[in-house]
Amino acid sequence: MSLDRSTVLAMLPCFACGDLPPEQAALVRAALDQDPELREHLAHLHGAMAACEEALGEGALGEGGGDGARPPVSVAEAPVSELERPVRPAASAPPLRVGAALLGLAAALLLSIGTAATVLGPRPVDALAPNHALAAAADAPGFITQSDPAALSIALRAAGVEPGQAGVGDLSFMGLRLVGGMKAPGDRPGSILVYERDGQRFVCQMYGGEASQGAPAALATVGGHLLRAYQAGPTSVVVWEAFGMICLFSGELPAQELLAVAIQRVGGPAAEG
Amino acid sequence: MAGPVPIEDARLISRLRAADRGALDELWVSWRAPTWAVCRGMGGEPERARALFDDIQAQLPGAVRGWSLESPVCCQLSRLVWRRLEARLELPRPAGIEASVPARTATPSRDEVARRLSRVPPELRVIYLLDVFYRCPARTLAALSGWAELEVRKARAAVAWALVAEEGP
Repeated sequence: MSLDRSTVLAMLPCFACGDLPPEQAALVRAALDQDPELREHLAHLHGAMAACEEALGEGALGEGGGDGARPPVSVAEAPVSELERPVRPAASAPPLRVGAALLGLAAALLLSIGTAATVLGPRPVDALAPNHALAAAADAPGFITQSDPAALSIALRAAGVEPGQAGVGDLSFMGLRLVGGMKAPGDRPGSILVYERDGQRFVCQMYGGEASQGAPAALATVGGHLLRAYQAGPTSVVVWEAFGMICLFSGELPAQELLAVAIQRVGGPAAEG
Repeated sequence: MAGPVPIEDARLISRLRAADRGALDELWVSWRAPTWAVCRGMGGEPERARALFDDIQAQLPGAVRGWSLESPVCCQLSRLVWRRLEARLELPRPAGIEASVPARTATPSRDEVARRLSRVPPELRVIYLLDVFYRCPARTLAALSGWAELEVRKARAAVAWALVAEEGP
């Protein structure tokens, strides 16, 4: 059974939200496999959600506006400092504001399991590398096997992942099948998602806070957001921060080429740095 | 309504129903940022958004005592947000929703999204924002709001396509 194109188009916004019954989602996924224009529409729908989070979410953290744009902290009026983002060192890059939904934009968050540990070396994401292999095996304690993004998101929240880090992107438009996810091990709040394509597993890691700074091989700004690319051998890693979280993307491409892919995901004209 | 309720949600709701102040703080710390974002999207001006936010925060302690153990926290909070926004902004129930698919699409910048969102009727905009910031399934939103599920899905689609429609030069 297949769907006609107009029906697929009508369902695409709900598919983008991960809110279609599994059988309908499978039909839409099949249509996406055959139709690059549909995949492009889907990417733009995801991009719009990310831009929306970016446009409206940053003020929630007390940036981009005066006191009038800042919400109260809690019902119990906890210290205002709880709402503030960590203050960057003076020498570091300007604050990055990429919507959390960008986390669902496929490759921009992917770390290649087989190479990450050797690639990262003494880099900003070095401490996160051991989690890659742990999650890729998909059998670690606490790993939730779930192929439905919405259901996994709920399960991750139930497992203690903060709502802002429990978003699960449906990357099927890139041929990536969701395997499952888990709460990030250790004390650092975060979540880990595992995807699979052609027998290879990819891991997305999202953490609160900021990445440490390091000298990148290439830089680019996209719509005011800074992406840092690190080169190590045949593989490179692009790192940026999104909505108070760290996002990672790696692949076996030269840093500049990988950066170009990341720029495409973020969207908009880029100013090379 | 939305499948099994996560055990953590059930525990939190139980504490909320028992007027556990710590539970209320826990809830708000987790959800204040998405709530503020929705208020910004609906209120436009910071002062107006702040008034909406303050209203929701003020209503929260009373609302949570009546929360069901059969629905996730996010869904019940989104219902409160939706209802308060409806009341404060006097949102009409949409008479008919047209979701036209544009011939060409593009990813909008955040400024463009903000501009386009401001042109979307608020009764539809609220659905999209609840989707983005609360991620509640349409079926759940429909059940909690009294809307038909199809209406929720159409509203979501109408706004989504309006945001990505490529405009001519």
